[in-house]
Amino acid sequence: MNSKQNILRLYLSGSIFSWLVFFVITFYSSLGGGFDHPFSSAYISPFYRDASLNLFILLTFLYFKLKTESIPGTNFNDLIWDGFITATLMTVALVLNQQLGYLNIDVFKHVLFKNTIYAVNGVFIIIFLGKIFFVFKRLVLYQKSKGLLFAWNTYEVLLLICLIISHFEIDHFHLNTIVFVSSLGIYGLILSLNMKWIAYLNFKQKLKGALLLLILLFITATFVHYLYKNSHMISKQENLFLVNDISQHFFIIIIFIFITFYCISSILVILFNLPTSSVFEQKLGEVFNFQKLAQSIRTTKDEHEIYDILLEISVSTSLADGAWLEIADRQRNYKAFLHHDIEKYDAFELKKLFKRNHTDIKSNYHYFSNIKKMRDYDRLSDNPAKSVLTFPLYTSNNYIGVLGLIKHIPDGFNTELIDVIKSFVGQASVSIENSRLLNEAISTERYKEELKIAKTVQENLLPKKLTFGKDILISAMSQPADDVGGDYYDTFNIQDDVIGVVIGDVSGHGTSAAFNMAQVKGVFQGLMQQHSSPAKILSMANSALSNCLNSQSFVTLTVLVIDLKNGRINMARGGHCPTLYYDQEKNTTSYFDLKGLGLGILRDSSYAQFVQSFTYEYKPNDVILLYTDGIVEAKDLEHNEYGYERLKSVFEKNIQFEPKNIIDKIRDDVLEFNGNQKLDDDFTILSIKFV
Amino acid sequence: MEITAVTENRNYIIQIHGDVDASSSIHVDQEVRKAMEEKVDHILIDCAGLNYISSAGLGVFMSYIQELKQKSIRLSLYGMSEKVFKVFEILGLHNIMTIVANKEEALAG
Repeated sequence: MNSKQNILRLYLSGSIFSWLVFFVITFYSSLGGGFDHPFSSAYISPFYRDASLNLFILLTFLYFKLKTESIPGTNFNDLIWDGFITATLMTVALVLNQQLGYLNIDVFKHVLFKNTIYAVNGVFIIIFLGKIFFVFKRLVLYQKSKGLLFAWNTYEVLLLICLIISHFEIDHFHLNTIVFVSSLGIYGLILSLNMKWIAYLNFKQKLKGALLLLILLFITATFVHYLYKNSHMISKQENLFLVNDISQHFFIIIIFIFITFYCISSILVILFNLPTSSVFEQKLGEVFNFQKLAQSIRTTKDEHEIYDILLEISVSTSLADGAWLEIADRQRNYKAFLHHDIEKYDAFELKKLFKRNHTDIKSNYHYFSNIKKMRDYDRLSDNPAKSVLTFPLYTSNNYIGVLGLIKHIPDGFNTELIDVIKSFVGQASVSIENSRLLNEAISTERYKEELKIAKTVQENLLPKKLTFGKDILISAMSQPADDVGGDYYDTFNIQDDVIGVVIGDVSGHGTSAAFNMAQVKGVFQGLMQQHSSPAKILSMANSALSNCLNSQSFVTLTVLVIDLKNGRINMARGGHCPTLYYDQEKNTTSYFDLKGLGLGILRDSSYAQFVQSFTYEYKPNDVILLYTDGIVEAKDLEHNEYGYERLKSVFEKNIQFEPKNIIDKIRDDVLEFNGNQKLDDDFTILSIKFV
Repeated sequence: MEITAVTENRNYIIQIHGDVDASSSIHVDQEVRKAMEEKVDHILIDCAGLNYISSAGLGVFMSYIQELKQKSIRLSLYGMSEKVFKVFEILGLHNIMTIVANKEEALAG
């Protein structure tokens, strides 16, 4: 940036210096009567004069070339306005300067003074040309192609050559000269046909642009007139002659030709484009609407804002007289209905009409150009719509809703708009889907967090430490299929030397089972405080749970009351998996075959008759195994069940170990059988060994 | 799971094939509910094709026990494999539901 400023400064000071040199030479030449006679005392070779003039032109043009390139933005009228200001200033300067020549003062009538005025005016004209030429360059090169850029650069190089050639004494009327100058003029004319910028102006801007260009054309004409008037004076008035007639300067002529052409052709094109500018304005409006919609995708989290934007944009783009938008949620349930300049009732009536005509507006877009012609139109009550456009909103097969646009006249919609509205609808569908996915992700995350909490809560419901008597070892493990489960076990110190053990399974698994499991725990915390028979405990638990389980839920339970003092087990089975027992004395393992019924199946006092208590006298080294159906119903890859037999044999094989090890062995065997797949059901094992 | 239903006289026969788990038990529930609404005398469940029943499936049958009693509609299950019967037996349902060997026994009983 700094170096650019320096170059600009260099050009400026160079051009001022070269003009001063030119001015001095002109002044000095005029002193000698104006004749460039080699023998005159004031003779200075025209080479220096022409060199200084051309250097001035070159540096001025280079200055404006660099200066105009750095004007930011693509506001064409500002650009032309910028050129217009310079042009006006130069015109005013020229006119004022010219007025000096008409003052009735002797000195001013001197040829010397005339020449001085002319030399100063040359500055104004060259500044005007340089400024306007490069302003037009910006316009010509708008949306440039590689080819156009090359053509323009060639033009600039040719102009430079032209400037250098004009330095030498050339016959203006020589054929070669005429061909060169006119071909450069035609080249400029061809370049001046690049007027893409005009298409980007709206109606007002076009009018303003045409006016500015017209004034510029007028100024150009004024300058040309001035130059030729002075040029004629050379031949007509002998006492007045110009030291350097720039109207004969090739470079200047060509630039004038280009500027004039460009002004005229631009004005004409603008005028011809005036009637169609509304089309461009509309296209531009569509682009802005797209941007607005795209913006909303990135910034909007609220679906409803997107509905509003879609409705508003569709109406403004299609110039519809009314519109409605209905939105469904994921389950295709009605979620929102927005209407704009149409009664809700009228919109519903239209929907009914389409349905009666077997048109599914949810599957594809439809254009009903004249609904009067549709079947059952007479049934409508004074509906304002005469033509209707409908668009379904979809994202990857998910139906989101329908947009309807109405016009109060038949054939009211321009069919070209359909594609535009379709893309609006597509964009909006995507952003609605995005917003939904985002919200779902948030709620899933929240759900996961809550499950984590539930898991911790449930883990606390299962005992951390099991009761130990002096002659008894108890161990247990439980593993839910999901985050939380419906399996339950617990131990209680009922009295000194009396221990209660409970294992249970709530039907189903997952969160609902986990809630029921917590209730079971609550019920047993109360019931196990008193010393009752296990069958009585189950009956009471049944009536307590009957009030809180839903109709399809039940609980299976096994309750053991172990009297350590008398070496006696009292137990009852509430529909739970049969208890496995190892009798060390007989060295046999068997399932206790006990009558029983699950809790919650009969929800009245009749329950009691289906359960019985059973007493067993245990001996040291006897082992009990309690478990839930997750163990025996575990499946391998071929869907075979683990079964009671396999459980029994694994239990027998590991009977010499402590309960903790027995449990581990069984769990490992079940998981191996299951092939380490995800578990179908919660599973729990509890083992008791008497010592 | 596949489920089919036919009405014979005032008997409603539901045939179940495959596994009744948490998701398919909903269809069994719908079928039993339909039978109850048709005001039949006897609902027969053909379990010959029933391979597996989860606790959710058992819950469906269990939930109708009291209502059937009130409306004096009989419910019989027949043709059950030994494995499936064991599931009913452990829970104790065989004591409070009619589970028989075949359709004839069910109709006779």
